[in-house]
Amino acid sequence: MPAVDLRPARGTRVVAEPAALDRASLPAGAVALRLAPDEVLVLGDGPVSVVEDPFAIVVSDHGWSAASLAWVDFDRLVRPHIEWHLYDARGLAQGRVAGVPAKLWMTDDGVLLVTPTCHVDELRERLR
Amino acid sequence: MRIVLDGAPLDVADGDTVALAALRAGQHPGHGGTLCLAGDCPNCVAQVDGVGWVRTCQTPARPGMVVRRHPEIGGPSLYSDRTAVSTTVRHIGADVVVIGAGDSGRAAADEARAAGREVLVLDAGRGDEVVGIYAGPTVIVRRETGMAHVGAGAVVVATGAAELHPVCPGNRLHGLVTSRAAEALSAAGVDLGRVVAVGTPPVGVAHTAADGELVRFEGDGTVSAVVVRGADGTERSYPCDTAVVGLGLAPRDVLGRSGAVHAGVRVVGPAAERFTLPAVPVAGIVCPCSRVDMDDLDGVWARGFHDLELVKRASLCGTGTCQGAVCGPYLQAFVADRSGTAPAPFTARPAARQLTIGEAAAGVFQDPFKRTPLHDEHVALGARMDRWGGWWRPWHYGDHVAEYWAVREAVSLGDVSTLGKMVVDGPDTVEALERLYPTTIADIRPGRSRYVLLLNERGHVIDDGMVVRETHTRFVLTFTSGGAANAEMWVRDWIETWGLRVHVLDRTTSLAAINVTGPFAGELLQRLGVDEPPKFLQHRHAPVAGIDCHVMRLSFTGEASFELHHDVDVSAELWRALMDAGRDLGIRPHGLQALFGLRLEKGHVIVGADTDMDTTPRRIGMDWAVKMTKPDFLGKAALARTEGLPDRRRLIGLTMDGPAPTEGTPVLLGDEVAGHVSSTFASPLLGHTVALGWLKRGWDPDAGLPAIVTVDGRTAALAEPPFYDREGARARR
Repeated sequence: MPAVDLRPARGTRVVAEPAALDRASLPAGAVALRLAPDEVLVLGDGPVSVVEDPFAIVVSDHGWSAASLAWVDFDRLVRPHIEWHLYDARGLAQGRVAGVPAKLWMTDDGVLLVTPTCHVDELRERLR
Repeated sequence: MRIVLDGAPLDVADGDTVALAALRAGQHPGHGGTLCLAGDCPNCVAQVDGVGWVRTCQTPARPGMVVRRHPEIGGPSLYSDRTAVSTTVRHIGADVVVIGAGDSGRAAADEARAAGREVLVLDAGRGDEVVGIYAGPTVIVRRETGMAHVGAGAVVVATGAAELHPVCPGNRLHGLVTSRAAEALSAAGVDLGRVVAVGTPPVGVAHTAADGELVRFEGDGTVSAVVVRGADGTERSYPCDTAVVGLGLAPRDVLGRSGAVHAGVRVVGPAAERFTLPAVPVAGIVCPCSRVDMDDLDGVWARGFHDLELVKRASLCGTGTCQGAVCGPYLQAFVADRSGTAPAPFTARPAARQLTIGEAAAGVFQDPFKRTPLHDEHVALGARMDRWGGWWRPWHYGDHVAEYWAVREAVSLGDVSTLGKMVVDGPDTVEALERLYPTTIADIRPGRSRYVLLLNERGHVIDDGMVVRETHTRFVLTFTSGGAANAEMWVRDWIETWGLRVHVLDRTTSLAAINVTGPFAGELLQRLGVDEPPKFLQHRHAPVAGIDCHVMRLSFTGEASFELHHDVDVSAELWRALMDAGRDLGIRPHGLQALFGLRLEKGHVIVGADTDMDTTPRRIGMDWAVKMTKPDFLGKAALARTEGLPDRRRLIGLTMDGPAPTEGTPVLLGDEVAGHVSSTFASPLLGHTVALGWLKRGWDPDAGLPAIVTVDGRTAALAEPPFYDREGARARR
């Protein structure tokens, strides 16, 4: 059992006008990671609708993996491998973890560590 | 408790440092010179458990520790019998980092805490050896447990002051210590014998004061007398076993000077003070690290080096282990005396302490190589995996020639998940792509695709790929595996620069792709539900073995080829379905080794392998991929400006007998090196070697290309690619 249990995470990737993204319809309970002003990664099942931008790119995206960590485990297993300053504010942070591109979704309950699946084996090894 | 010093056992008391243990046994931890026992000087450095340049006065003795003195001249061997160890690094943070736990450090820490700031105090005496301060500020710390990289809101350098070392004849003898060191040794119960003190005397240490100006130390290996000159000019000799020097202080500011260039770093207390410079010595070793004496400094000065930094570089004074902590004040005093102007201390830069390569590299990861979703399939099939273009790729599956023949005569699978894959959409997409590519885009109909070069502003080829039109406004763009990341930035930057309304989504790592190639490729797709596979350069979405795929018909191998782009999580399922359905067709996967040969027979270039940084389409014979009649595209102005100029650089095709020469082998015209081969392949089908290579000089464009060249000592004939199926019929059938 790896210490950081990264598993495939299905979702939807959307690129659209920022204002349209702000008013996009997202599935209830989904985690929406605003990767850029014009881009969101929605982790979870259910349709995403961006009605205000006819050119919006909305595609299913199965190329990610994620691990949910309690803060205590995150502090023990992941934080020591982050070279950049990680502010304690909740929300999304993006950068390299142990040199591997990753995204961190931080809530009061813990941290969701997200990385492209093509990096999972390398990240697991580096966090071991 | 015992340690081993130069092969001999040494008893150690609890709490002793290595240096203290040696001194307790009546030995010098190094090869002589004044000991400060504060980590400032180089006189106690030794090799500890295989690691050289360790300050033994800062190193707690541990049972079984193996200590070796450095050679008296030079450093320890770089070749260590020490087993390589992985040095860990912890990344921690604090509002305020205070370096130094002395009076000024405590005051700074108290002040910060009173302001509600989180404070981290680092002190070498407590095991936190700060080796450098970098922008951020980030403080690099060596600990017994590994390295720590501390991100700080602010850094206070409170490292205090160091004691001056004596510079006079005899200052390399054993038995010389500073006042503070004498106090520490006395407190530790070390018998100092007869003590003579010069200058500020040690507190609590019985001694005889030698009044007067220090002239020299006398002794045979170990000090036996201190000679001073009294106010009346006469010399007096004081017999002793230990000479204690209290000659004043200098700021301990190597960290402060190197760190204060960064925002958020300030230096306080004695480390920030300007002390009176010492008197210029008359003789003796000034720099114990580099063994620079006063004669050396005078010689450098006489040769015209009159700036502190130049004196330092010319003499090496201050370039050693202690980074000027011992010699710096004397060097300043020397230049001040000779020039009449007191210079500032010389520039300090990290690291302030010697590091092992492991410590310096701790926490530094190489860029990860990505794995396709078919990685395990390749391994299970016996593939030799190798790194290429940022990914782990199958190089071959044990028999690259058999893989080659499967493509040419049957059907084969290639994992091309690594290709860059991008979706663009928006009202200005066509306009953006017309500007990005030298090829016409507007006339590509939905359902069609076109091969394209990507040029930079100078008209140099930076990548290639396909433009695949889905709808009036939506396109899929593909790029090379190694060029994908750069291409994404390139496309985004230009669209943003132009202010065009185009959405960009990079799908490189979200989509897998399998290339089904060979004469039976179409039949294989039909078996798996694609009733009418797309024709050449057409594409459509269709389920293959029940898996949604974007099927693109193109060819890199020279045979009929279909790229199946699909979600990564179903890639292994699709791969197995294709392998199963093609078994009776002679299917087998092919790796890069076969692929590179297949494409070389077709004369297809690999950007980055067959191209240089300044390769234009003309140089690789791909003018046909450039439409100079277009209103504009990136690189057009440069190509227009240079198209009439003579250019001897040409990518040429070559055929030759015998085995394929190594890529990079020189191409000779007569006896002159005229270029090199960039790709080579001993073609199983053609029965000879084919190659691409560069001619860069030695031929006259007006007279035309030469007919033959010499490669690897053999004659090679120029031949215009492709070498195989020149009409391209096999890719289209």
